[in-house]
Amino acid sequence: MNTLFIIAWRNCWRNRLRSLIVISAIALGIWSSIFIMGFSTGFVNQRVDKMVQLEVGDIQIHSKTFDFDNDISNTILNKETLITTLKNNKNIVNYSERFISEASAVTAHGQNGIKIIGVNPKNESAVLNLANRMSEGTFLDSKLAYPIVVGKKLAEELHLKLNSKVQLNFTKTDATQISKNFKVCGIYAIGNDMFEGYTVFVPLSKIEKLTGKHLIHEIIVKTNIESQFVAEEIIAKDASNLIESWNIRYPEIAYMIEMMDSSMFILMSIIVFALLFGIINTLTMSILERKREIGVLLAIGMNKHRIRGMIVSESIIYGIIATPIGVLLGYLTISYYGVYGFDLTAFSKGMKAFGYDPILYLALETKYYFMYTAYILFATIIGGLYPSRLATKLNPIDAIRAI
Amino acid sequence: MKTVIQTIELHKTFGKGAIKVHALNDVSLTISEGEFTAIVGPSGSGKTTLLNMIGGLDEVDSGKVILNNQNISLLNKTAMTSFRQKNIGFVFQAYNLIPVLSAYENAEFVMLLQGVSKNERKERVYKLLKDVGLEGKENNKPGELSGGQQQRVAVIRALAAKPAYILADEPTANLDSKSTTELLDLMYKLNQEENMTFVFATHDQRVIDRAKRIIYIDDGKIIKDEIQ
Repeated sequence: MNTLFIIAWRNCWRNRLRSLIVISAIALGIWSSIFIMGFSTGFVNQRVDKMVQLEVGDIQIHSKTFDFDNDISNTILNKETLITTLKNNKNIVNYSERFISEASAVTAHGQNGIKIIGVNPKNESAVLNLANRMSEGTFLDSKLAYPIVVGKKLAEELHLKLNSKVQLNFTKTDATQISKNFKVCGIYAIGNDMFEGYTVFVPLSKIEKLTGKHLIHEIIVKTNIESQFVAEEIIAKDASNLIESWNIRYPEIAYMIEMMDSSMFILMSIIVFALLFGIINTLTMSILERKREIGVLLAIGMNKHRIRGMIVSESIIYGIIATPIGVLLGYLTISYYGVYGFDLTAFSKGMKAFGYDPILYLALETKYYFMYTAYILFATIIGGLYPSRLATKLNPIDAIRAI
Repeated sequence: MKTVIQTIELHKTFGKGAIKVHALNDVSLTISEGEFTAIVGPSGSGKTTLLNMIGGLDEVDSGKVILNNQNISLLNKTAMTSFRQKNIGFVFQAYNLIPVLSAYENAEFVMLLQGVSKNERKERVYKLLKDVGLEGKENNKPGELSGGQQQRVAVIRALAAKPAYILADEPTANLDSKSTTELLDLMYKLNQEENMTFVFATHDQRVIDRAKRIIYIDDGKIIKDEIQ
């Protein structure tokens, strides 16, 4: 078998240029697919991280009817019991109680429909990282009487700057309207136009002062383990409210992750399939060029298994050389852009509209490198089968004309 | 003397209908161990077809081919390949060495397929390389050897595996006079000293002159079989 491999190895280098082209094509195929997979993973990771860390938290708790009836009086039930449960759970890092209301924001430049989120700034900052994403001002850390934090998009639309006045209008529990002027103390920018244009933050204490009530519609929770397990633990203690981990609350994001796994598999399959044809084509050409030689091997007594082994070995050699090169190049590319980010500023407008930062940090789970290596090596074995079959089908007489 | 090749009423046709060609027509012959035989005939006479039959490379339409006491008509392709490896040495007109292997590796190749130990292979190959005057050329690739040298390596490849007989198809066709003489001397020496059986298909008068037995074939039939 050793000699078979030596022959296979030397056969691979008979036509150096052709072999180098095949090896380069395989390596390039692997590199490009790893790059695309890293790109997709980076996209999804960024979206999930941003959503969990800046927008929604790991777990959200609402009244069971909150999603269908957003009346201001539709608050969380048994709040005291629930808070005790949250405080006693070791897997919960922090939580933040929120007042939520649809409202309108009015300035001299226009009017926008918005969502008011009333928060305790300290608790909110312990759950979300929004305070670290302030483009101007602070996250409600202000001596202003009625401070408000708005998104960059809303600030652009309503021409708001720090200390600009904005009038918020929303409904009280008795259906009367509240109108109050707030002053901008901070402008956040998270690269998500939809969120920035719609969500404003005000102190919960000021809302209580305006409504005269302690109204909590939402509690967001930060966990230190898989959020779904913690959500189940809370539900086991008290199921009177709707307790959902982020992937249940926003299934489209969870679906996006699942889709990414599937699309990566499809992408890998397409590229491997294309590479397979490259290998088959090269080896078939090589077999046809060596028809006479293979005929001689058959004539002098080399059996079909050995001929097959020799040809498949040639295919595997291409894979063995190309795969580490492609995987290494892919790994280096992902590592580099994982640290320094891939600049997509040219497309930033469109990306921000969908909640993506223009600087994308590529990432790829280690398992994909191993999967891809195994996949390519398997493909090279498959790629060698047809040419090897072609070789063993040769009639030694036809191949060498005659003895 | 032991019979190594026997054909009984061999028939082989190629083509169909009007263009049917009888390549072999009722060919019966016996070749014994130690013979130095030339099969001679014009182009298209059937000598190559006959050589293919006794080389186990082609199937007969009717008749029997008994090689080294084995009726090869009963063997399937895999068994036939194994039979060729163990019993028949081939020397081709165009040498047909494996270009990526050195002279040494080419020479030991059939032994390798037979599973002969490394030491034994080395011993046999070096002895034969020395015998044919290729000492010091063992690491040369076929492309680095002359035609005569390549054909000598091909003879070693055929011989080293200790076959029952060696079939050589126009072995001197691509060689100059000097190389032809050297090759024939080598084969003749092996025949005399090792009692190795050689069967040639040839046009070359120099080969015919050295053969001990000449089988003349024309239109697929043996027309003369003479001992020189």
